Amino acid sequence: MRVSEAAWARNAAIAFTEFFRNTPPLVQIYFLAFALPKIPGVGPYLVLPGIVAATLGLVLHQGAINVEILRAGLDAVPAGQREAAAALGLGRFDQLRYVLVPQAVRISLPALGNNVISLFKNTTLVASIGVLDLFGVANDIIAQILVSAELFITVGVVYLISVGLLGAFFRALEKRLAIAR
Amino acid sequence: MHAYVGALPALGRGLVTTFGVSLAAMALALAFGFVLGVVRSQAPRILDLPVLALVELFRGIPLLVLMYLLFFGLPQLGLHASSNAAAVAALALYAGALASEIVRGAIASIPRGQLEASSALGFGRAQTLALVVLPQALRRMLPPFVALFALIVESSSLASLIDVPDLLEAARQHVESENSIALPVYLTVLVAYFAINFPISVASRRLEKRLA
Repeated sequence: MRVSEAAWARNAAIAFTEFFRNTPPLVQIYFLAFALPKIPGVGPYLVLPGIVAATLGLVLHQGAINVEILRAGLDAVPAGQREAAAALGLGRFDQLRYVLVPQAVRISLPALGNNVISLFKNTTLVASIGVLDLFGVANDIIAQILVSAELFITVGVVYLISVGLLGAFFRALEKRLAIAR
Repeated sequence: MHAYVGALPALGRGLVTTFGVSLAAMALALAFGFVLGVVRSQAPRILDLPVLALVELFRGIPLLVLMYLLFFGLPQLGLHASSNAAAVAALALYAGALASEIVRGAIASIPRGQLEASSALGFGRAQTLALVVLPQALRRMLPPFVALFALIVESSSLASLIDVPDLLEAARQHVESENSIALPVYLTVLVAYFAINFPISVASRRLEKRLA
C-alpha cells in the first residue's frame, strides 16, 4: 500500500505507520487492554485476553516499523528494474511479485533482522499486563522467594543468548540470499 | 468528563517527568556512546573486544530486564538507586550502546583519503581525529542521534513499571482510581507521545536527506 499509486491508499498507510511507529508499544498495549473495553456501545465486545492485547500491541508497533523498512527497500531498487520489467510486459502486480519485492527483501534484510530482535526483546512488555512470559514468571518467583538479582541476571543471560542466536541466523540468511555481483 | 479534566494536571506533571528522564538519559547516552565509539574506532584490538562485549551486552538485554536489575537487583549489593536514577541509568546504558555504534559507524565512514591528506599535512593522530575526522563525522551522526532521542522518549515509558511518575504512570494511577476515564486518558497519552515523537522522527529524516 505504501508504494501504491492510489493516493488514498498511500495516505492511509502513511497515517497508520506513522502513528504506531511513533507511540510506545507499552502505551499501545495498555490502550488495547484497558481503554478499548470502555468505548461506549461496542466496548463490552472488545475485552481482549491479556495475551491477545499484548501480542496485538507488539504487532502494530513492530509491524509499522517493518512497513517503513520494506518501503525503504523498495525505494532502493533501481528504477531501471521496474522499467525493464514493464518492458518485458509484466503487469504492476507481476513487477512487484517477480522483480521488485525479491530485491527489496534482500536489501531490507539487515534492518528486518534488527526489528525481529527488537520485537523479541519487547516481548518482556507483555508481563506488565500480567501475561506469564519468561520475565513474568521470573517476577512471580521473585515475589515468592525475595531474591531478585540472580533471577534477573538469569533472565538477562537467556535473552542475550537468544538474541545472539537470532543475530547469527539473520547474518547466515543474508549470506545465503546474497546475489553474487 | 469532570474526572478526565481533573486528571490533566497530573498528566502534565507526568509529561514533565518523561521529558526530564529522557533528556538526562540522552545526555548520559551521548557521553557514554562517544567514549565507547571513539575507543572502538581508534583503539587496538585488545581494547576493542571488551568494549564490543559491553556494547553487545547492553544492546542484547531487554531494556525492561536491565531496569529491573538496576532497581530491584542492586539493593542486594547494598546499592540503593531511586526509581528515577535506575530508569535513567538503564536508558543511558541501552541508548549509549546504540549511540556508540552510531559514533563508530560515522567515524568509519570518513574516506581514507581524508586521513592520508591529514597525515601528509603533518597532523598527529589526535589532531587528525579532532580537526579532520570528527567535524565531518558529527554531521553524519546528527540524523541517527535525533532518531535515538525519539527511541529514548518512547522507551522511557517502561520507567512507569518501576514506579517512576512519568506520563504513563500518571495515567495508570488515575485510571486505577477512576476506571471510567480509561478511554480518554489513554487516548490522551497516545496522542501526547505521538505529538512528541512524530516531529522528532520527521526532523531526523529531513536531516538525513539534507546531509546525504
